[in-house]
Amino acid sequence: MFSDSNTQTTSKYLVLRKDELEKIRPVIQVRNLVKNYGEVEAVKGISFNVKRGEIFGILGPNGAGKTTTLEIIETILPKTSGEVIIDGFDIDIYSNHVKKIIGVQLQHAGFLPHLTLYELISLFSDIYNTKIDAKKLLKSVNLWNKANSTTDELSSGQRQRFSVALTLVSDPVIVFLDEPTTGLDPQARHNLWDIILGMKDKGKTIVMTTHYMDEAETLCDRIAIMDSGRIIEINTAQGFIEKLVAKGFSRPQPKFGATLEDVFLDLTGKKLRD
Amino acid sequence: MFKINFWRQLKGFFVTSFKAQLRTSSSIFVGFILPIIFIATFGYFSAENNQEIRVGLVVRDSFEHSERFVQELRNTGLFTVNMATKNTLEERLKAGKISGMIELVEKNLVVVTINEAQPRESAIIIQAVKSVMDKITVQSNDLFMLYDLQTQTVFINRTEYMDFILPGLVGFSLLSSAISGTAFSFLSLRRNNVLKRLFAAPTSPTAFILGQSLARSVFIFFQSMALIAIAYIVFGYSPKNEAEGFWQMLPIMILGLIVFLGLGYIVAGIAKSSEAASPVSNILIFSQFLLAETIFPITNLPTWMQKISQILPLYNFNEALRLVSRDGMSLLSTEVILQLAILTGWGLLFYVIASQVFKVKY
Repeated sequence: MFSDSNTQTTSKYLVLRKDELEKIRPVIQVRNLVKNYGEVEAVKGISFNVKRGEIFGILGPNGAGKTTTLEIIETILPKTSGEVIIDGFDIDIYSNHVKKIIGVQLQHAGFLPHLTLYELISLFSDIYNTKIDAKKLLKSVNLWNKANSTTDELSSGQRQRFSVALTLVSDPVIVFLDEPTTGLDPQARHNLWDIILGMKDKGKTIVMTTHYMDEAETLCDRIAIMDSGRIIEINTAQGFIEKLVAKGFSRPQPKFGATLEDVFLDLTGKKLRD
Repeated sequence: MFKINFWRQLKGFFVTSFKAQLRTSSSIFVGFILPIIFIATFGYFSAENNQEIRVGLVVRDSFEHSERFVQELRNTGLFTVNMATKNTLEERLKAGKISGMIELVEKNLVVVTINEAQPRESAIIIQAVKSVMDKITVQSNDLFMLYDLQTQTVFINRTEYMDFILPGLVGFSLLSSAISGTAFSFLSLRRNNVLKRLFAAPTSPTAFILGQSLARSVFIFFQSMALIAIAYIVFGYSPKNEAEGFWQMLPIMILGLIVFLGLGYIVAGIAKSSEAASPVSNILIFSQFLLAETIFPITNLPTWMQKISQILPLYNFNEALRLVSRDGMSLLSTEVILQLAILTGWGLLFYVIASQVFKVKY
């Protein structure tokens, strides 16, 4: 795989240009990650890689360790043991550098109170010491008309879109989204899907968790299924399904060529409501 | 790759925190409206309600029977009589130190100056002067011995009590705003995972804490300045040495604020939630409010309680501020320095404890 014209091989070593190396090196490498809360083992030695530019989904029932895993990678939670390397930087040593190259949307995270969206974006650009076109950013998540509203005045869909927008202030390499569409109506979900796919098109790597299987199927290039602190399997949505079917599983064929959600969206339209 | 700029973060947290405070009604209520309510109610309330009324007396030689007049006035038992020159007494009247002024002028003219802001005292003064005049007239057996009474009114909405209570309320305002502002806002940021989000970004904890605290300090400081301004405008309050006294109050207020913020960090550090912080901060605020000579003197308390009171940080603050503003002492006088030294000691202790218990954990 390294024999194309841009690479030179010597007898012993493979030499790659830096940009080529970065292309093939996993942007996230997790090795034997363990997290214990006292006696409770929340994450029991998981390993996985995330490739540059993909949308990587982590699925699993509540309490499977998804959020704990994400928060360790996001440098928020200390780990018990194991190794996490983000874009070549070990989070133990370079946590401050890692914080600069990731964008994080947390489950149930609030914002500093009594501030407008515009002021919060400006605060985050102060934090990252970067210049940001707030108008362009807010427009990209359909919130420009809310620039001078405070976060209390937003609907849940708008709040979610705003926290996704805030992840982009620093133009990060990786964006983490923890259940970004939970609690949203179908219109808002579909809108957020478009936003997430747009981020992927801009070259961002996205790691997300979700409880919606259709969401994972639509968005994720690869999916890790977790349960009780372990990764059971990593595969593409297609791969998972083919494997199950090969085992002889067959699902009762749907009677109709549409789902209730199709009906709902047909009747109420795809236009965003909030 | 961008480099994190500490000063830019500091500025960011300062600006946003200041704006947020301006938009929070509760922070304005605790530190500002509440003390104003106290000022309003206690400003009209005379602390010496059941004591003798203080009047000033000016006696001119030309006045007939002046000795008897003074004697009779004293005999009523209603008054503490201050005899001095007219100028001095006018000053005292303006300062709220006496409730009225009685001038015995010419042969038989009595001029009474009463303060409309003190109707009860005014009525008593006038009635007493009239009865003294009648009594002397009757006893003198001189049918032509008639007194002429003239009444003048002034409106001086100020008592000595204001000089006493204002420093206390400034202290209370600084203490309550510093503790509740710091503790509750920090704990709610933690509970709502705002801290988590901030520290998933390369936020400097120092820039965050310092920016927020500076904004809060500026806000609280202007709040207590506004309190003094209202006392000045509405109740005619002013420190003894006017402007000079006022400038000397400021360093004490800044020191007090820093010390009280330390208490706020301790509460934020030991309380797990806002619910848990509430009783702790109420104890710290209201026990001191009652015991630290905030709105009433502690001289009526038993000695052992006074001893406790005198080592409370709010007491040291109030005492220092009173010595400077009410008694006109210099910031550098021994008495003031002593109080400020105890207050500083408290401050050091608070920050040592805070550095142990307060962690930016999320």
